[in-house]
Amino acid sequence: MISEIANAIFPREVNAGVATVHLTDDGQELTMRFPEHVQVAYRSATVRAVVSTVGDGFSRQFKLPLP
Amino acid sequence: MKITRSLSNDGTLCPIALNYLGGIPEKYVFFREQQQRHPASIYNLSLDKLAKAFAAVIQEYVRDTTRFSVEPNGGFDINVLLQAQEHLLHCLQEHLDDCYLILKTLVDPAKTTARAIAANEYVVDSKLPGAKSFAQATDEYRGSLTIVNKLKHNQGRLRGYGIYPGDGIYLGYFLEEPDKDGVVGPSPEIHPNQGAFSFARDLRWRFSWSILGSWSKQSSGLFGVSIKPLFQVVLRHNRRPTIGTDSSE
Repeated sequence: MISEIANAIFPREVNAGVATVHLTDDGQELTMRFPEHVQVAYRSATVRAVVSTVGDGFSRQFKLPLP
Repeated sequence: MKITRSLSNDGTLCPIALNYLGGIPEKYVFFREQQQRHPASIYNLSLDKLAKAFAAVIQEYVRDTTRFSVEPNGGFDINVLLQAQEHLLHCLQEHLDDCYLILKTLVDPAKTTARAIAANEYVVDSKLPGAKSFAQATDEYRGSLTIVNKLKHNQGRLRGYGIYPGDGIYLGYFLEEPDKDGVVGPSPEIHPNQGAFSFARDLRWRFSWSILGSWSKQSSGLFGVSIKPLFQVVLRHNRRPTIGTDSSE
């Protein structure tokens, strides 16, 4: 399953390198390469972000991650 | 670095460490005296738990990627996925502890004065050859699990994050805790660049790391390719014959 995950990585991670995992169709051979530098083409020049959080009943100020 | 495992050559897709551990004659380990399982069994059970934890996260990740492929009108709730991820992080921490249990089975309790309950302290106190180098080799791995300490001891919370770059959602998460000004957000220690972790990178990175211990070629960790030198040191120290292992990697 892990070999089927797409390169849906965030822009800030592109330069950090990724690991690639490949399992052959017959399930006989597993290959891992790391660190690998991938090129990710983002279709849009801008991105919109969604975030989930839960209030703690006191905090009023929140920071959100940057893409 | 490239690592390949095949059923035809290796007999298993699991890390090569499993081959080495399975090849140690029982008389050279002290698992019974230590009231532990055989080291190969410890590793096997640990990998099994890890595999299930990874599978649970991936299953939820795929489901939520489909569920939120179009921007939600309001609710963005990936709590089940985050719970699975938190469980995985704890399992990764346990895996390191399990590896120390494996080292413990190499210590003859009749020949050590060590009494520490924690296996990592026990093997170091016992001056087990290779224990220090193992600790050094897994420094990076341990460092990557600082997030677990934050979850356990500092009320850190995993929060969901996603971006829409034009072809569906890219899901991720971050550890939320207050910064020095009391503002709640991405942990400055875990996310120094203020970015979240994408599941796509995090899962594969942690999967590879859990098998190898480190991306460093100098790694002499218990995990993966370099377990052989560690066991050779231990066995030489005990003046026993080296174990027969394959050397394909």
